[in-house]
Formats: sequence, C-alpha cells, structure tokens
Amino acid sequence: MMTTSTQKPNRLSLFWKAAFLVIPLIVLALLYTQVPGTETFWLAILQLVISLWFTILLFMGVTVIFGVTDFKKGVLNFLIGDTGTYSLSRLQAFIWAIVIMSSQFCLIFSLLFNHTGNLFRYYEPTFSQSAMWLLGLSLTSYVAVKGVTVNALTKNQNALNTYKTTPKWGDILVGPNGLDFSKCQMLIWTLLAICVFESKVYDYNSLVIHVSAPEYMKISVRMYEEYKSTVEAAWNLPYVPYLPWSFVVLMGLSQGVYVGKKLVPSFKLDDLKAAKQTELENSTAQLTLKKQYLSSILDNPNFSKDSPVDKISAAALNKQITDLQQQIADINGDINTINTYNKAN
Amino acid sequence: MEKISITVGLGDFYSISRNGLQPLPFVYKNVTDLQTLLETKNWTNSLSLMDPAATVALISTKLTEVIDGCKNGDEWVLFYYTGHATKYFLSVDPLQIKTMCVTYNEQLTPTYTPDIKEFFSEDNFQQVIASFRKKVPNGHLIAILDCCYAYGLIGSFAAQQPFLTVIAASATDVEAGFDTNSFFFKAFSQLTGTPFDQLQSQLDQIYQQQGYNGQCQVSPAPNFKSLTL
Repeated sequence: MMTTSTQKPNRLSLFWKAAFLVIPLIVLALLYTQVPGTETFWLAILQLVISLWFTILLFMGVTVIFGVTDFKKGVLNFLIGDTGTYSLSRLQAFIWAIVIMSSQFCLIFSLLFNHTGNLFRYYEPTFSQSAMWLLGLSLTSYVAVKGVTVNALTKNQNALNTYKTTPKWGDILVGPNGLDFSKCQMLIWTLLAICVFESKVYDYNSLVIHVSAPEYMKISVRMYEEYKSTVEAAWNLPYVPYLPWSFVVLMGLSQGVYVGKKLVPSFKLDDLKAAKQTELENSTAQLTLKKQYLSSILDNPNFSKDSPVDKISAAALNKQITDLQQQIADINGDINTINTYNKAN
Repeated sequence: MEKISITVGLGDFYSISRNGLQPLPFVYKNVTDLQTLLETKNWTNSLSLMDPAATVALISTKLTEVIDGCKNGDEWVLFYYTGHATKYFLSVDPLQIKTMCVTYNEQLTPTYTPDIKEFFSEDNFQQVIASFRKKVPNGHLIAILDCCYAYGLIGSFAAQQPFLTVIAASATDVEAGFDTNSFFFKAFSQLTGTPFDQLQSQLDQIYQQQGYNGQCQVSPAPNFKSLTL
C-alpha cells in the first residue's frame, strides 16, 4: 500500500539549524575584532572552532551526497546502534574521528593563514601515536560493542521486540538496569581527554600560525616522547597534538570495562531469559495440548451416569484438567513476568 | 452387531523420581486419535480410563461391565492399552515370570513394586478372555497393546482363542511429546482398513521402511481374520 506525505518542510526548524551552524562563528569573529592585542588567542580559538565545524559540515556533506538530507537521519544516524538507540561507543568513535580530523584542518588553516606567508606546501598529515591509539581504541570499542549486540540479538530473538525506533540522548548513559556507571565514567574520561587534546591542538596551532617555514619544519615532527631519557632542549616548544600515554592507558581501561561489562552479564542474562521463556512457552503449548486431549476424552457422549467406573473416571479427568489449567496459568504468569522485565529494560 | 471400545492410557503417572519410569506424553494423542478412528467405523467408545483412573480395579470392572452388557452374543469389544508394561518375577523360576501392565498404583516406587495383583497382568487378561468366551460366544475380542513387553503379554496365551485378536507392539517412544503418537500407533493408524491377517506383514513393512527397530506381533482371531476394524 502506498502512502503520501502531506507534511510541509519545517522552515523555522531549518532556520535554527542554519543559525546553529553560523552564530558561533559570528560571535567568535566579533570577539576577534573587538579585543585587540589578543589576536593570537582568538585566532587560534577561531581556527579550532572553524575546523571542528568544517569537519562536521564535511560529514553532513557526505550524508547529503549519499541522499540522506535530514539532519537527524544524516549525521546523527551515525550514532544509532543496532538496537535502535544512541550508542556511546559510536558517539565516542564519531567524536574522536571529528576531533582528530579537525586538528588536521586546523593545521591546514594555520599554514594557509600563516603570518609569514602561505606555508600550505609544507603540510603533511602528521599524527601523534597517542592520537592514533585513541582513534584505534574508540573504533575497536565500536566494533566490539556491535559484535556483542548482534550476537545477543541472534541468541535472544525476543530482544528484537524491544528495538527502539526513536532514539533518545538518554540512551547513551542508560543500560539494561538504568544508569550505567561504566558508560558514565567512559563518557567523562572521553570528554576530559578531548578537552586536553584540543588544548594541545590550540597550543600547537597558535605557534604554527606565527612561525617561519624552517621553524615549522622543526616542530612539525616534534613528537612527545613521555619516556625519553634525553634532556629536551627547546622544552617550551609545542608538540604535535597528543595525549600523555597514561591517559591513553586510562582510556583503554575505561573502554575495556565498558565492553567487558556489556559482554559478560547482559549476554548471559539475556541468554538465560530467552532460554527460560522458550522453555516455558513450550511447556504451555504442550500442557495446552494435553488439556485439549483430556477435554476431548471427557466430552464423550457414551458417558454412563449409571456406571460407577465412568463416574470415577470423569472425576479423575476433571481433576486432571483443573490441575492443568492451574499449571498453565502459573507458567503464563512466569512468562508475563519475563516479558514485563524485558519491556521495563 | 455392536462394537464397543475400552481405552486405557497412562502417561503422566510415570515419573523417574516417583516410580522410576519415563513419562509417556504421547498416550493422550494415541487415545483421542484411536477414538476418532473408531468413531468413523461405527464403534461406541466408552469413557477412557486415564492416569489415576487407570487402576487394575477400574480396568477390570470396566471390562466386566462392558462384557456383561453384551446382550446379543456377537458384539465386538476392543481393549486398547497405551502405557508401560514390565516383567514381574514371582520367583527365580523362569516359568514364574509374569508380564503386567504398569497400571496406576500410588505405592509403586523405584525400589518397591507392590504385589502383581495390584496391577493389570496377564492373569487379569486371562479372566477377561474366559468371561468373554462365556458371555459373548460369537463375539470378537480385540486387544491392542501399545506398550513394552506386549509380546510377552500375548506369549502366554498359549491356547489360541478363535475369537481373540491381539495386536501387540513391544516398543515405546519415551522422547515423544504430547503433540505426537507412539511409533506403533502411527503405523497402525494407517492400517485400520487392512484385514487382521494382513496386519502383521503391513506393520513389519512400515517398521522396515521407517528404519524402526521395534517388534510387533499380530495374532488374528481365526474366526475374523479376513475382517477389518
């Protein structure tokens, strides 16, 4: 059956979406022009924000090119997991991809608008090891969570009944039993790590925008080596944006806990619930069949009221049927309890 | 000519924890399907004796009631039993080993078996045969025994009776559910239009085709061997 939509485009909503993208840039540009003497600070901040926005727009552009024009169905669709909810692991992978990509765009802007001239010809994508590890960790976490979810859905078909068609932001922090501490701590560590990383991006680019070509060539390969034993001569020069290794390890542990928790308890509990539900449903079906057979046997037109044997037999059949009804009711009660638990979670 | 059936089924009475015997869920479908089949062939089905009602006393009384009710002397009576059967050792003497149907008995446990008189055994069946011979001289008694050791039950009917047809299946399908029949019944229900004297070969053929390792023994009554149910 075909359906036609009579809804008109929401122009006000589109206006606000556009404003959401442009207003921060206007505010930053005004601040830059209205606060003389702090150009470097505001220029670096402006570059940072523009590069972040540019990266997001790039993602949106990709979704537009591939035919999904609506904002929520477009970029935000990247965040929806296999159960139809917003996924923290996907959000994290998405954010890290944006942050690391935007740091490269920020570098490009710094070279393009360098105060000594256009140095873009010296640009080479350079990443610190910690940045690559962070991106790798978040993508691994995303793939692992996807694997766990798909496996759980395969083993517990009833979980498909709880598939959500309208994701909410609350999904990111809510687990099967309410607010999830492992998700919450991972989100906070991620936000903190992003702030630290962005501060390094700012620090690096606020220098790159001023330096000459030879100086840039030196700092473009200046990698932070936490455990280097040699004395660092130019200690005040920035490094290629990085995070301390201890932070990377912390992120790894945080993600390990998140994935591990998702894997172990929910997997076993869901499996158990599904198996129990199937077992109970089979029992109900079998007992219902037996009740039908006994009812059919009892419904005998040749039953003789004068026969003592028939009277005893009928009484026994009636009792069996009553007992079966009670058993079926008890099992249905258990099935409802499991269903209620599944829906509530 | 009136045709009357008596059906007995025990399924849930059996329990590994209670009496050491596997439950037989298929007996309920066996009984209802057989009654449906018999109805189409103008049989009168008496009320079945199921589980707690399937005691030796009630089975014997019911058989007596039905046989005593045969007024014309040419009635057909069908006795169908689906459940467990076993051997009962009265002594170490092989001749003192009896076959009995494990009918309902609360005292039966894995370690204690009440006296054979508390169950429906070949002795009870001999009494039924004697009573039938006396009350229904021109009648036809058909015993269908869908249980273990059914062959043992008929093996002791040394003197073949001209009015007695025995169809015995020494097999059980303890894994079957409520939604299916025993293997014997599946095979037998295909052959209700087959003359009694051809049942043995037809059943053997089905067993062989299905790769089933059970044994089936048909002993048609000489007076009725070319007839069907």
